[in-house]
Amino acid sequence: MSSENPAAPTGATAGMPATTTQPDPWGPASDQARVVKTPGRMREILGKAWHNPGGRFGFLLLALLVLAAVLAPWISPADPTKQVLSDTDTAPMWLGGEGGYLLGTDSLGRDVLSRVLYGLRLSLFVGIVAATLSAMLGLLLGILAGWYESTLGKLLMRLADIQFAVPFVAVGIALTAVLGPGLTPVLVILSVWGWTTYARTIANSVSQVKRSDFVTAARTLGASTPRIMLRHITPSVLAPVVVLWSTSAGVLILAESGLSLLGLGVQAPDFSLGSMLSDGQVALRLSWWAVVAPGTALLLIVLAFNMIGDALRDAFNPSSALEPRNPELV
Amino acid sequence: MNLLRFLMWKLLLLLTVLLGVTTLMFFLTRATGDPAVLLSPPEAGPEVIEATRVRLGLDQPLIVQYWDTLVSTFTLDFGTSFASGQNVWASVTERLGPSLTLVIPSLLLAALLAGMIGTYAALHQADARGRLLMGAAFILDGIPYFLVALVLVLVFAIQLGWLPATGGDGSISLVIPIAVLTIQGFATLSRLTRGQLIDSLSQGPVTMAKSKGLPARTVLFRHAVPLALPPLIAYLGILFSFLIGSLLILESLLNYAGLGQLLVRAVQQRDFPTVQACVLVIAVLITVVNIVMDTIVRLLDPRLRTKVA
Repeated sequence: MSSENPAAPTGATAGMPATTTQPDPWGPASDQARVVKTPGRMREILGKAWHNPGGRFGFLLLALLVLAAVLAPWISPADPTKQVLSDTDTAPMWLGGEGGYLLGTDSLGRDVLSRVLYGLRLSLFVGIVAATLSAMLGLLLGILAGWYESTLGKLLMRLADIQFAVPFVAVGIALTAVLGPGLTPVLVILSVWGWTTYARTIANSVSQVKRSDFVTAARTLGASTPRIMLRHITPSVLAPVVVLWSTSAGVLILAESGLSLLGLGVQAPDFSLGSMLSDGQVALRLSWWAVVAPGTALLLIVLAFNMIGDALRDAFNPSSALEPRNPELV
Repeated sequence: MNLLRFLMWKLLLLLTVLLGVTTLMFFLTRATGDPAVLLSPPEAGPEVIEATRVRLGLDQPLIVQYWDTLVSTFTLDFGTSFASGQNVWASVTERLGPSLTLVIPSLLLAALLAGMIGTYAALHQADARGRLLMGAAFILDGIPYFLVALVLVLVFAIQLGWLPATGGDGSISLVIPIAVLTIQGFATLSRLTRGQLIDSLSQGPVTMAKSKGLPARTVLFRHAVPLALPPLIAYLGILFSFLIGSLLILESLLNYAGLGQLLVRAVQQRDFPTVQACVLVIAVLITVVNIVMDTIVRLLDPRLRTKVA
């Protein structure tokens, strides 16, 4: 770790673990843990990603999309579910459509722009919730796998091998055969299936970190295993989790859209960008804008997450630009 | 000797995958509902469900049922489909060919294109053309594959009328799905190729070859490319599973009679034996392809041969 630690007194040697730069090295272990509150590494990575032009663009784009989703009730020009049957398949106004619809209407006469704004809500929600849940599960299992390397670790990695052979979409489709279609089964499967990428990366870091001096020191001071895992190991392996989180959110949103596109995900009257595609593709001939508009919104979401993810990854580890993004989340 | 051991390990992995997927599907059906209901035709009354329970031995203890499931998996006996009345295994293997007809050409095309574009971008990493190519690949990488499919249908089938929109017979119906999968695979792969090649261009053997005064072409193809190749080949296995995932959705969207369409139809008709067989075939397919890729990497990369598996 060559990161600067803002808590370190001036003149601290670069490369020294943050935990050793305590004002009072003889204090009880709990005091030491409390002093090291500065998220130095994390802040540094986020800062670097922000200063990367692509990264900044990604952050701003994502902020814009989230804002649009949150403000949907106020900025939508129309009720997204209201069907104006006299205005079905109206072209966008800039293509000469009547009625002043900015992005036209779909085959049921619903305003496409309003539906995209509302559709963003569910799509972003699914992606962010599923990515967060799978990150938490992956973090937990990864730490356990790295700590109990030879027993639980081996077992979990074999499980990850098995899971790798079954793509997301296949499990998602198969699960809806058992549970019936709907948002909940999709959310569950996306959250559960995503742990492997995190766990593999984290288990590797943990197996290195657990041999480091500060862990031995904590152990010597009488810290219990759960305490070491939570207070000493977790903070030091958190950075890759953030990187993976942002790249997986886009993938998960696409997975949800794909399943909704087949009618296996979100069910009417709820709708996501994916289920809008499903509605729109039936009338592709009459109103292509009802497909292209939600599709473009999806593209923007994925681009934003990919840009953030790439910038974070470059900031976290400059040489890792060669690694494929999320090989296991397919 | 080493290779033999490696292959034995991989065979063991394949068996684990078979066992794992079967176990997963077994417990999934037991944990989330009554398998007798699930394995009966959708409109079945209580006496039919009871008959199914007895016929399939679902009144037996769980451990006996589990054993029976394992036996039927390894003997490829998945029973008959509720929807078509056909033998499940026969109907699944029948759809395997059409799906592979899409995936394999796409994978090869994507690898070929990505190899050329990635190499070009790596050699021109500083100038505008190389950057422009990678910018395009980045955006292409973000476009959802189903959107690509819908836009291609819109432009080439509906507006121009060159290709059939959905289904259709003959090789012309393959054009859109193969184009979609190729675009999807090529975007990621070309970025990766560029990265790997840039990395290998700065490595010792390549610097050595350059300083010996070898022509640029020889340095590139004899020294840099072989260094960059193994991880890319391994990634092809991952990409294969990626493309299969996309195909499952694409086939229904484009009404193409392959494994994906069969799976989705089976789900809609609650034809559970077919669902089970499809998932199993997909898992085996992905594992086998990855084993093949790993083996190729092992044969190509002498550094891996010295290590014991």
